[in-house]
Amino acid sequence: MTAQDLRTLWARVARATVSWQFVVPALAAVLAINWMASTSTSTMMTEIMIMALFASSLNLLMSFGHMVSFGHAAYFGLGAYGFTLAVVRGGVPPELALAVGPLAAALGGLVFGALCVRLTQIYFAMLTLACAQITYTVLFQWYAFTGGDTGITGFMIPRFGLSEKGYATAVLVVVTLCLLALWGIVKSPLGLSIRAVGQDRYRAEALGLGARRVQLVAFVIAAFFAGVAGTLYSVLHGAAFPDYAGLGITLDGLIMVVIGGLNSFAGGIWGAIIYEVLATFVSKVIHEWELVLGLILLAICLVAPAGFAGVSARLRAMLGGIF
Amino acid sequence: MVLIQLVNGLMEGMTLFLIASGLTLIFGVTRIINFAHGSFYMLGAFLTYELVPLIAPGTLWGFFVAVAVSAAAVSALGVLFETTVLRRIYGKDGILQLIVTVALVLIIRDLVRMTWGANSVSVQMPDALMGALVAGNTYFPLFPIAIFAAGLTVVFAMIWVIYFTRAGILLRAGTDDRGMVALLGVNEKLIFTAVFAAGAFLAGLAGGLSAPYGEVNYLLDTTVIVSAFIVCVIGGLGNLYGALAGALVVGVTKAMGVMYFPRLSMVLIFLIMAAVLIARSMGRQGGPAR
Amino acid sequence: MLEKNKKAVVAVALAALATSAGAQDGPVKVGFAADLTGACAALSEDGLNGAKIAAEEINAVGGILGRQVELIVRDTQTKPDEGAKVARDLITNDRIDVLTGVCSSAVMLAESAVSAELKVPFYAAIGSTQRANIELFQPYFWQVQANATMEAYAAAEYVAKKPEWEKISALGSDYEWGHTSVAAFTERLKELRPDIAFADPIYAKVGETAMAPYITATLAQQPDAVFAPLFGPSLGATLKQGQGFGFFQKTNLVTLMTVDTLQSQGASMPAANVYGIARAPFFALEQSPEVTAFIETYRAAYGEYPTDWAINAYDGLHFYAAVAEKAGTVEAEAIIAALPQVSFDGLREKGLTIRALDGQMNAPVYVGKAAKVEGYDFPILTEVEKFEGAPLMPAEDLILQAREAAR
Repeated sequence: MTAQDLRTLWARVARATVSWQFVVPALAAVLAINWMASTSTSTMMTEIMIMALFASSLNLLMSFGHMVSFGHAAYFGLGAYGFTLAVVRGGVPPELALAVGPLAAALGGLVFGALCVRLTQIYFAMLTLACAQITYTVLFQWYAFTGGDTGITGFMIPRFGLSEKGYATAVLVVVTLCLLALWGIVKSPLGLSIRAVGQDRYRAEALGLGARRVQLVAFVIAAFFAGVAGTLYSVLHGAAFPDYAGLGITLDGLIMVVIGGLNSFAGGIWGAIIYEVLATFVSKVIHEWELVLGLILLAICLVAPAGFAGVSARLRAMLGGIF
Repeated sequence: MVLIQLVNGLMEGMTLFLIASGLTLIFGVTRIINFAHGSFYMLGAFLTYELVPLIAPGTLWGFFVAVAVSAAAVSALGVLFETTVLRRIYGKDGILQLIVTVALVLIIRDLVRMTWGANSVSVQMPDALMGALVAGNTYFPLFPIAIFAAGLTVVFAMIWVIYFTRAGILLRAGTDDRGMVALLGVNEKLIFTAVFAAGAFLAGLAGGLSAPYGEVNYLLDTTVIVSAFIVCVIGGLGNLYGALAGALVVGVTKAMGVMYFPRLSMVLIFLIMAAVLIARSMGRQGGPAR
Repeated sequence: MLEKNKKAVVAVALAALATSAGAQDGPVKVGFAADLTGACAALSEDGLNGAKIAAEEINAVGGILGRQVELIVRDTQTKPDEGAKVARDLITNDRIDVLTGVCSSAVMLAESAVSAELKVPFYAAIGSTQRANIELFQPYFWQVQANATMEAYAAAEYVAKKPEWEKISALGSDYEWGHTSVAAFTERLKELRPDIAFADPIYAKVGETAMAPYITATLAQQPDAVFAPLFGPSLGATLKQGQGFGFFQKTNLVTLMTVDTLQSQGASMPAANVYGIARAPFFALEQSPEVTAFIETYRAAYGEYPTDWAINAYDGLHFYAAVAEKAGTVEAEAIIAALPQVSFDGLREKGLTIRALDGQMNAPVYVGKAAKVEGYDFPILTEVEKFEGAPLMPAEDLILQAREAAR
């Protein structure tokens, strides 16, 4: 990407129709809660924001590209390990290593994506799963380099020594910028191409779009932002574990997108908020969290298949005159 | 040793086929990836655990009856799920169908943990299958041979059903072109339900049959579903013979891998799966690989 | 009964005194961040059960420093990311005084990192990776059972005493615990018995239950005994599937065999040639009044015999109480300072202490022969030999060297 590209991209992001009347109060609210609430709330908000970015990056593939990835955690894990290993094995100063995480994830996305986009639908999903499992296994078994299943801890002061509140603010800034960039991409001609290919690849190809190339670009972008999320997560805990690239995180992401609402940009964000808040509070009360989650998912699929975003859109339509 | 490993591989392959056959059958007709297939397998194993001590414990027939009853119960659960939940979301976004089956996985797993606890349980092996074939200093266990035989029986039964019965004709027709079958006046819903019943039965059967030979605990579902996916993908989803071939390839590769690539044990079958998928994608330009 | 009440009254009075003397109000909060679901669930549940009984007992005699003990239980789902999250929340939100409960090595190290960062004491009573003692040691950590290396050493000591065993194979689960256990076992056994031949270790995928190929490969090495640090499901599968291959006719298996494994194997356990390493087998402990009382209480409460995990978690909480009494406070720095000064009489042994250098307790390891015995409906270990903890602990200079090397 040249500087010219970056400038045009930024111009597009700036011009993209962001409903600022919603975003600005939301940001202000997050900041206000962060300053007033307890440290544990700040930590929870930090996790929510990180997962919102991760889910949104997956959502770019799912909602707009109609590519269901069963292995998106691979890029979260690559982000975390890219950062951690650059510090531990590469001797890179942690501040610089922050850039290595997302780049490692994007590179992983480029390699795996190039293979995966050759396939469609369920076979695409299966190949993403295979790629993620291979990544997970390498992280799990390569003791000499990755530390194996017991991961890497104690290599840095978590959050660069920032307080929980301070780090929450930093994450808020990074995540907001990333989400704006994602939004800009969705609204850009590239975003249109991604959507076109997602909806009908043959028609898009007939229009002269290189379907696979567009999908690969989307895949790399999604991997990059998942890598940003992974890096931020690794800094939060000052740790990296193979589980970061495991099936659990992939499923978390998928579930967030579905709860939040497919086919809506905000789906990933709402999904992360609802899922994390529920997971935190329900699991404090009872240990049958999985049962509860299963019932919620069942209910969503049967009653509100468009997820939270769909419900809120319907409500807004119903109450149209008032708001 | 190579020979024994080959046999080990074939034995494991047959167990994998029993698991994967139901999954691929359901996918072939309904185009649904049933994540809860592993949960059905696990339920089959736990029900067998409950039934074995009740039905002529220790005898061969008692064991098989226990397994068959468990499989039938699991099948009934599958039908219940298909008619009350899945039927309402056919034709909607594929991801929803997938999430519904994931929801079922989560629900069943927690219910199983609440019912049978987190610790593993052991299922008594029928006395007749406890021993081994002994040739000199070489032993080979009887139990996997019995499972292999049971697997072969299932294969032949399926071939018979698919090619020589009306149900089989409808099944093949449904796999080829669902819309056309419906247009011809066949009750499509009934086919789906029947296929789901058969798929769940096979999962329960596999779970029950394998139960005495391994650990039965509430985490079986994940282990099983991942292996089943791999087998199906290698064989081509929806393709029964493919599943058989895929299962045997995975089983034999794993067994041989222990000797030749011991450090790759975890990753080997995923590499095969990736290789098969990539090779598949080379075949046709652009079009979806089927 | 009256006597007990009197004690309680005295305790309350003491508590009131302590409060007026400036101690904190309210209960002593024990954060139990346990792997209650996922691969470690069975072990963690038993640990929780043991800790609950300990908490009740402590509270019945007036609590810790006159304050009641409150267990705050959370599930980590056996995931390191959840573990770190839950630990952080317990510390910052629930303001716990001490953190424990963990089983999986990865989750344990994740929680240990949080404990180091937020300076809250953390002890392990199930998970036992020696990485937490050596290169990742942090001053707020201790563990109350023998760590994985010590267990492997004990197995080596036991095997060394079998002169008829001349060739040894290793079959382990392919992750950190399996690899480091095999390495430690081999290292110690080579010192003890230079005459023994070692075959190449074989590693099975974690959680693998189709063990036949591994059993075949191990038997092809024609060993006299097989040292097998296998994780739960793989071990159970090996015991079942090995029988048909004549494994237990041809060779001997030396493996981790805690009470839960013995119970779940039941009648499927091979009749002979299985040797188990255990951490706290209730049937092999010195049957003191405390031990018999605990077994009875546990059986009454949960309808089964206590497993090793239950006993260690029970000892762990009582030990913490003893340290807090010694320190006169539950404040972290004082607890850490008091830690090496306490000599603790637990269910397993009297005179248990923590070494300051690595937070390791000199806890014993048990090795015995699995067999069916009258009176139990599951096999137990017989002819159990107890290995004292202190000689199993790696020397201090070795630990310092290992830490230096890891840097």
